Amino acid sequence: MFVLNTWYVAAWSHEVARQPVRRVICEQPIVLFRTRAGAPVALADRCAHRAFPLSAGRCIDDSVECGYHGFTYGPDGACTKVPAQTTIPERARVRSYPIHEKDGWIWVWTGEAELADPADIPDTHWMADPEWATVTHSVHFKCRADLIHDNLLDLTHESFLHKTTVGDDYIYEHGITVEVEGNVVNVDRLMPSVEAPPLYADTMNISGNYDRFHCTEFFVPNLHVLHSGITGEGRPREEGYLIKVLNGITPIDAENAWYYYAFSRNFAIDNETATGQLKEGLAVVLKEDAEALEAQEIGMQGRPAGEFDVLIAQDGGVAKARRVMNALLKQEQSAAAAPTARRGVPVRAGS
Amino acid sequence: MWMLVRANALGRDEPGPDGRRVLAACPDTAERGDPWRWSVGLQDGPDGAVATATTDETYVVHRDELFAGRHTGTVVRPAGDVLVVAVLRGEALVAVEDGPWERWVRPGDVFVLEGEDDELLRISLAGGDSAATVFVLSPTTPRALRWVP
Repeated sequence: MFVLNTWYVAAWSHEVARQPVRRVICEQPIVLFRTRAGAPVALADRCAHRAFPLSAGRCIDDSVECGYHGFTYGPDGACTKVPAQTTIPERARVRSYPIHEKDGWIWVWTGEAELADPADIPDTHWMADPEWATVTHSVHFKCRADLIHDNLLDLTHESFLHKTTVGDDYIYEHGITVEVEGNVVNVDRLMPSVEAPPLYADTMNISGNYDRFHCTEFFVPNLHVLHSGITGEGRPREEGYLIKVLNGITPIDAENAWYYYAFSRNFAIDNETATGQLKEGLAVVLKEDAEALEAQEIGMQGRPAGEFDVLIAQDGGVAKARRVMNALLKQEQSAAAAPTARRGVPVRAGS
Repeated sequence: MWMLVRANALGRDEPGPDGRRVLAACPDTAERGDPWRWSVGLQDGPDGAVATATTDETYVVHRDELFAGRHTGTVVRPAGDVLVVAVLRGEALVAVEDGPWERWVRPGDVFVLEGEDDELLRISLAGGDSAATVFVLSPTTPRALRWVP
């Protein structure tokens, strides 16, 4: 089950062009392409004629032509051409999805179209801001999206899973502050007076102790913004060397998810060596996560009914996010069961 | 672990038949089978909102203190105890005793502190008819009372 009345990251902007591409989001196959003017389009990736994937076809003008028998669909999903006859069958239409392009990501709304409002997409400007240097990755995680959410909300795993990459022994020694407001869960960890981690020390040629922080802001159900960095002891965070990590988590199905990742920093932004090393190093970190969560997914599937996670205080953000996710699912189920009422409730940041 | 759950947070417990809404509980979710230890709730009474704590007294005892008006002071959370702040009326500012972190807490919000080190929390009420109840939940055994999600 998935929350559908929300925007999911469907692709990087550069991945969507005149050649149709396929994505599966929440078990819905979607074809993405651009019109001649460059506007992105998202349609159901299933021809109304015989269910052939439109992504295997081609773009003609502003439409996509099915590669099987040539049915052609415009950006609104309406069939515009049927070979061998001039009359378009009344049912010849595919679903058109609300779509929005912002800061390098293509977002698609998977729920009721009339509820879609691009203003509900959280701030992601860092990855397109010239004052920040960004490296990106996207990875197919062979696990349910929930495991990625849990992973991002409990960064103590860095001390163990990533001990040879980004981990530090002391992370789990510092307590967290969890805040829940609307559909947003924050998990903040302040690590006062610790040695500057190598990323900062090496690129900025600094040494000594700093206040280090991690704050994961989870816009349930699909985007984590990690506000991380170091600052002078006792100094405001905004004065420091800052990192913003955008984690767009898009369910494919019950056991797979796409992970869209953008790591932006506001220091050493012209240091191309550092950028290259980060690109390489973060790929290793993501691989460690992907392998661990795939193993966890296998463990979950083999777990006997009635055996549950043993959560501890450190998992406060995890548990609260699960509650928010369940509430969103329940809202959609209730709306679906009440056909005469307003059908859904969109997910809005802080709502 | 500190936790601030706002009144508008999705997934909060619905009020029970008696009108009492659970603001915080241990465990927070009963479905995994963790044994219940305590809950703090808020309900309307003839004289306004009232916050109450219920506990499994075999394991947890509690005391509470009502702050009102323009009260400002620090509250000690001994290591291994849990402290819960529930605002009845108006606003209360909760803050790290020696640091910049602070948040305004309002009726329906709940602030929970727990952990295995002593802590000091500064609580300042906004004045007027502002009122807040602070609960200190203590284990009856030497083991720390840790919050269970």
